[in-house]
Amino acid sequence: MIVLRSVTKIYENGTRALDDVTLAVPRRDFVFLVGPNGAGKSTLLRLLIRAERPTSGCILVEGQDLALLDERDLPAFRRRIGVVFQDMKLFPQKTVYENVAFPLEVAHVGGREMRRAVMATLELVGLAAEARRTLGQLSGGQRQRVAIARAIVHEPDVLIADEPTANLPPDTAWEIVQLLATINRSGVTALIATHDRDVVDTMERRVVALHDGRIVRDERAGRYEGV
Amino acid sequence: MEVPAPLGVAVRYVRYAWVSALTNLWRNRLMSLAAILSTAAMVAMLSGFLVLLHALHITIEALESRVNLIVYLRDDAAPGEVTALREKLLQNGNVVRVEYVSKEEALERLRRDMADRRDVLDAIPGNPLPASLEIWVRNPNALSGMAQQIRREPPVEDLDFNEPVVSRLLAITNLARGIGLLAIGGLVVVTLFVIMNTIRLAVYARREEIEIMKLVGATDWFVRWPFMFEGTLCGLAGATLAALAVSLAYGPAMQAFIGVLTFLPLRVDPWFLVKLNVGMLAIGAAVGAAGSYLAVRRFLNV
Repeated sequence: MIVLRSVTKIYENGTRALDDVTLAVPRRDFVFLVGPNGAGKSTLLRLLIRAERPTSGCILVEGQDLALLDERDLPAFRRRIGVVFQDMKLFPQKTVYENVAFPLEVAHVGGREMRRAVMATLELVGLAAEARRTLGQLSGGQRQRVAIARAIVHEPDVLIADEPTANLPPDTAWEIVQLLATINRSGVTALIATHDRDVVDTMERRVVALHDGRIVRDERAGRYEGV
Repeated sequence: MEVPAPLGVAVRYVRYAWVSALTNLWRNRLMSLAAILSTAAMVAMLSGFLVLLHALHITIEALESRVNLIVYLRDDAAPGEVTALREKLLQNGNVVRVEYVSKEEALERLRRDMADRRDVLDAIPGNPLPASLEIWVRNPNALSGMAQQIRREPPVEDLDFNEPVVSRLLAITNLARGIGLLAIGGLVVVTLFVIMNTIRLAVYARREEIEIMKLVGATDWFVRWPFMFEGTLCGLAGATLAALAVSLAYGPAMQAFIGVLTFLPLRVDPWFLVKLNVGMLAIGAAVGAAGSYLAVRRFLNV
């Protein structure tokens, strides 16, 4: 469950990235966050992992009020969330396996437990055969799968993805979204920021549209563009 | 997920941190070399300074172990008076030791000192030398005040202390000690700063890696340890280079000093060199670790 109540974010340079946003995403929900560049999608996602703090308003993620989250408890909180970053933020010199294992390494899950979790996840995203390759040897779609695998290997409650299909050919993009839907069906709340009109229109899931930092539309089984 | 055993976690993590530290040292080897060389230069300077301070310290000690004050006694002073004065002096907190030198002993010493001029001594009739009390004090700074008081005691004929020389030497040595300590403090800070900046460049190149670590839930210390191991290794390597250079130079340099400054009680002291090297290795490691700690700090706020 994700709840935003009257959240406003104004950056130091005066940019009003989010303006009085109120939004509730129940457990297991699958939400597309759409809108033009600069609408506030990325800011919203960054607020949810507390990479940023809101200027005003209240954010709850899985029952945790982020304003009350102690600095010491932040790492443990972040381990309950999986994030696919817009620029993927993978370690280019490490292998597929090492990249996916990293959140477990950070959480001090090691040995057999770690190998089991990593291989199961790679199996799910269809990269079990590429475990030992380095990222340079992979295609764009495969790299995106690595990013997704890393985001879910620690079995988070919430999956956040920022433009997971950007720069991918249409069929690859479609496969990626199918993968996200599969993960969502296993019980993970999914919040996906996207520009991909075709994907949104085909999926017919909940759509929240942002414009100039405000929510202008929130529809069940919505489309990329409002009617 | 099951909770792993704490010991296993620690062992695993230490291995992880060391492996990433060594990997990163190698990957950024030019930067590592810069950090090592600047540490070596700083530590070598620090060592050189400590060698000078050590020589100074030996000199001061030698000066301080000399008799500070000689009280010449009247020939007609009663033994009781002398004993009373001695007791009185010993009660003074600043007095370490008081030694009675009889007239005969004084003459004996003079004979020894002037063995090659026996003819002069033989020409002197009887024993013109007075008996005396030789006094060692803890703090030579208080000598002139003490001298004023002692001069008023009945059995005292005269007294002798090289006030100007002693006080001037003390002023110089105190000043030198102060400057030395300040310089060492300054050098440590400069070393820390140089290492910190070198490491900061290396860290800056990897800020994105740190950001990822933090965003997937790494604690600050999880991120910090590999960098601190790196800094420690650079510091140790630099200090080792400096220790080698200083060890090679120490003997010849001291010999040269001793040759020029023959009046100073300098000596080559291998034990001091050992202590110096161990200390410098410790400082190198500590400064490397501290430099990394400070360098990483600003990138952890994600």
